[in-house]
Amino acid sequence: MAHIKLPEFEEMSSAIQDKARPILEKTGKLGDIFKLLAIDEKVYFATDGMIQKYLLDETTLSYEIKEAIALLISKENGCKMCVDVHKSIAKMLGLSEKKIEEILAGVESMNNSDKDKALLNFCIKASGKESYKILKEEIDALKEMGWSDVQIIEAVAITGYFNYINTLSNVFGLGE
Amino acid sequence: MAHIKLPEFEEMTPAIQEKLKPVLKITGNIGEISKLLAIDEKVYMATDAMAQGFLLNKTELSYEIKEAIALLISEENGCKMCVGLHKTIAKALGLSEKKIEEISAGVESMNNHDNEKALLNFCIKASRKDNYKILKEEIDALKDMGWSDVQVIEAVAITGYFNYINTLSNVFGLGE
Repeated sequence: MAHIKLPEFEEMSSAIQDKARPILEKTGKLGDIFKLLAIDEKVYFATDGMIQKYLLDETTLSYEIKEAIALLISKENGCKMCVDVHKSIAKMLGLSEKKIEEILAGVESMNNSDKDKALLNFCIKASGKESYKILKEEIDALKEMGWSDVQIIEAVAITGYFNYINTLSNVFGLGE
Repeated sequence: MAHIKLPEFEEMTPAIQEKLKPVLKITGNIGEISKLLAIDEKVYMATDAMAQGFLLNKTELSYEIKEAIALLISEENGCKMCVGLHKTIAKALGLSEKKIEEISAGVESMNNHDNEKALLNFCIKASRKDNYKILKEEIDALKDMGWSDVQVIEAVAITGYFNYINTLSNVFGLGE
């Protein structure tokens, strides 16, 4: 159970209710992370902006790479709730059950190109507390494999987003 | 030097230029983190919304507490650039040089109430990789000291924001 009282739909601000209504109509329930963020409207909207722009919109990285980052970093950060939510989101965005299983077994288990695996391993390193030790050579190596500056920044921003959202979910004991 | 080529003002998109024009006018230069984010407009805008909504706007927590979180977590994450930048921002938001020095020396050196020190120590713990071990009792203790649910969530969201922005700054070697 969450470490804090999570609000129900009726207790949320009307702006958040407008966002929640379609989800509630489609799935019949709201996730714990949605309810947690709804406690503070500015936190809800700032976070929703990032989810939409980084994960749900079409961007310079494929949904497969973006959801692989979501699953791998959430796992790395011990966020069970986020892993479960992203299993569902990855499926909704077109990833097969098989691919999701491969990702969760770790980068080396993935049937992807070396280029994809190098970016994902880089993201795992970027998510760690020793990210300040990363060298220019490591970024240059990704560029030599064909990743652009924008793709690398997007991948690190998504990694950083999971360092943010996993913090919120873990601290309040969601999904336990 | 940054691990990636940072754009100058003239190379940024018109929407980002609009945001940065006043900064350029007041300070005469644009910081490395703004330049990094400007490589990808969606990353710039989503991050700017969080910085504005959490740190610069008046919210449930005082500027002193919010900038103390900024400085303490950036220090914890080894982000020299973010520490340097938030010394300037803290001053701009009204914190004295003395207070900024106190914060930089660590929570125990601060001349603040016990309830403020407890919240800041909680944020440091929340920023760490083993934050999934935090117990409901620890959050209840903060509430017994007078912190509201919204204040606790805001503090953790700001902590999470620094886990995000420190990742971006560290990975690309800003301020080195």
